Amino acid sequence: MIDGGTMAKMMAKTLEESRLDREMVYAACERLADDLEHGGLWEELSSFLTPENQKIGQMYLKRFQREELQRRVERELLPLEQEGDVQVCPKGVLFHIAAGNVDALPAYSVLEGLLAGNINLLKLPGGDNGLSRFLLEKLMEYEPLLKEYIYIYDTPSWDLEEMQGLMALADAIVLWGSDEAVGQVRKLAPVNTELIEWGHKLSFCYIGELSVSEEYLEILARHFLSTNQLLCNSCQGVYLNTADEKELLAFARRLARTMKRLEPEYPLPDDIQGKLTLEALTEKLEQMEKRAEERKIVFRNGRSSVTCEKDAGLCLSGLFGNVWVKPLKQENIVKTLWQNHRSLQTAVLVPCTQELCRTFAKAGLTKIVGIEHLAEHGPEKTHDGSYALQRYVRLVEVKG
Amino acid sequence: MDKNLKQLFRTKHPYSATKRDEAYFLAAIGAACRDFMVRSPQYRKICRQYGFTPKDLRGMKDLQKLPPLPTAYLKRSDISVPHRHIIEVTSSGTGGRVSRMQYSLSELLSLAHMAIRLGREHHLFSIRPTHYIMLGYQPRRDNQTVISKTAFLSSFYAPPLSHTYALKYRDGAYHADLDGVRKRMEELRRQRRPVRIIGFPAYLYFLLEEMKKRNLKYRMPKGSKILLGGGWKQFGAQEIPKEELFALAEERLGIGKQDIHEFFSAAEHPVLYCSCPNHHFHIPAYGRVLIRDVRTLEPVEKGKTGIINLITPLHSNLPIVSILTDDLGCVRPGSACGCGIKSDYLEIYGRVGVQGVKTCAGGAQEKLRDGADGKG
Repeated sequence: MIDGGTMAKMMAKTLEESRLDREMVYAACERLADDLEHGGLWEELSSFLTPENQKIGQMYLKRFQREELQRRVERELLPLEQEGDVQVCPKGVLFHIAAGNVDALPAYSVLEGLLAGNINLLKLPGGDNGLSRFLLEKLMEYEPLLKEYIYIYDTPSWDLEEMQGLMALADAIVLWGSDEAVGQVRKLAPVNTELIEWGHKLSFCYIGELSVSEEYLEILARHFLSTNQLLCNSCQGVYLNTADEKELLAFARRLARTMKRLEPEYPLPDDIQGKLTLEALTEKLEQMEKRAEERKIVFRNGRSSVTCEKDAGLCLSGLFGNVWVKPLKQENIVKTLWQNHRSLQTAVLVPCTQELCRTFAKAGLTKIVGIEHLAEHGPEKTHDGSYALQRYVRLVEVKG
Repeated sequence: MDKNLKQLFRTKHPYSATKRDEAYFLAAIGAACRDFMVRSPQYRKICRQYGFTPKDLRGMKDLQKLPPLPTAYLKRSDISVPHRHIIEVTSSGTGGRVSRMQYSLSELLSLAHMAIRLGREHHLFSIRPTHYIMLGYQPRRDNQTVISKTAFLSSFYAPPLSHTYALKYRDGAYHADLDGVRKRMEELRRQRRPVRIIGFPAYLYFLLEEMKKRNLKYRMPKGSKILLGGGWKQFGAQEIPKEELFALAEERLGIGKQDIHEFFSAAEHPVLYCSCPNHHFHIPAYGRVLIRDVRTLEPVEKGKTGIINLITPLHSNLPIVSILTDDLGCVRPGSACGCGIKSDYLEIYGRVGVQGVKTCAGGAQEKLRDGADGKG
């Protein structure tokens, strides 16, 4: 049970003394990154990661490197700090309600809070594998002052009393989660506590010119198979700049063939493979009930599949390498996607022309990248269209 | 009702099926398939697609040829046939949709024979009046879930003095009242009648954890038991190993492992699997279990993990003779258990899919549905 009074006093003292220096955070992270690379810490750490998450975990952990963190601060906070009559201060206390879909994300969220100078209370996601706690405890071991700035809780979401206790201590709640989670937190949070939401989004690939090279097709296939399409910035499917069904089929066949070749490199654990197999059988049985012209055309491999769909509406895929392919003529992009603009995140373009970039920006996307940058996976420069660190500080106007 | 089916469910040897029992089993399965193939065009189409006809069932090994239907398919499609029935039950709808099964009086009697026979085998009957703590739904006429009905019925293995429910119906919905349950248990520990705690393991865990947090220990009267069933459902992410749960129950309630009984079943497979003293689910004569490869769905040998395929001739309005559950498990030879029961046993490892892990892309799908009215 949290002793709110004592906690509040302790944190007020920490904020008053304000001994946290960004350099301390950089140095602790640098040591962590170094130990991971050379000091044998990676072995200890990789025991927390499932085999299919090793690569994603590695890419996320690269974001703990000093240079990476410095770049973020320079980009996001320095422009604010350079304004003469504005003082940049931390929000104070951030309560992070982290999501469980990326292994190191809860720790990374706390790190962002630290870079902005905040005290961070972290509620670990249900069923957390212990990785975030491990990383944060290492940082506190390397820089003991961080103990005053990091507090980790296993509080389950259903323990409303404790959740409310933590919320009452915070100046802002950083929330990674579904609409349902946001709704629940809004109900519980004190009225004057700010909510910083990183909601759920969808991404996709758009192919403007149909003569895609094998090289690009392989990048795309590896992206589907390695991310399992679980993240906001992982593509759910591919839009093709065509209205011709034959072209759609030909592309789907090529993509399925490439994925079939690559999928042995990305095996799935039994529980996920079992789910996909059951879903595939269920769909096959359901398709049997339909007339031939109503049936979807699916190119199915062992674990992956490519489904041709006539409807251009944005939707979730079957995940884990089960991809949709849809027709979307360039002139219809804005009117088709705008209706879901609140859910849009990244469009991966082939080719990445200025005209297409402008069109997708108009449609509501918050990130547009050329396919050649697709392999650079991990936290984005921006979170859903804004700089995260800027949301974790407050600006004090000073006129003296 | 098919004569063979009736005979099978009246067997006196649920764990040592005789050749005659096997003959009843095969004949009853064949009759059920023939009936469905005649009456359900969709089932006929599926059997044709699999190249299966009831004539293929020559021995128990041929059961693997039955087209296994995923429970998700039974929930989403309507391949039911008209069925004379006196009761309709549904699955619990954890995934949003339910399957509806109808049973006739004779089918219910067969299930009652099974429950009584297994109750005797596992020493569940007692003549001592008992207080029941139900860690599940308070029964209501419009709650047709199998789990609420079976939990209630299992409170008749010993004459009931009282029922206290963890999920109470109030203002049009069920609400969890674990504190009410805890208070009732505090009262019950002071009297001499045995107490039986029946229901979901997740609720038992939450209750025991709360007691631990408050440093409470309620030693239950002698002869008390815990009967667990229904799985962890939406609380999968909080699931703990059963050894830990049993240790917690012993520590907080004084109910030892030997007095904890587990049950496994499925709405779409009405056979009851009761845990033996070593906490294994031996397969009774009323059903068969195959384990299928997670990629190819081909049957795998004993000891290998895969998707659990449950088979029984007791069907309803749905062709549930061979169903694929959402669970992973393995079958081991009865001799590997050591409890004395001869039949093979089933080990259940949990659900397929990503347990307790949410995808941010998956959450966005919800938003798309709400997009039109601006909730996104």
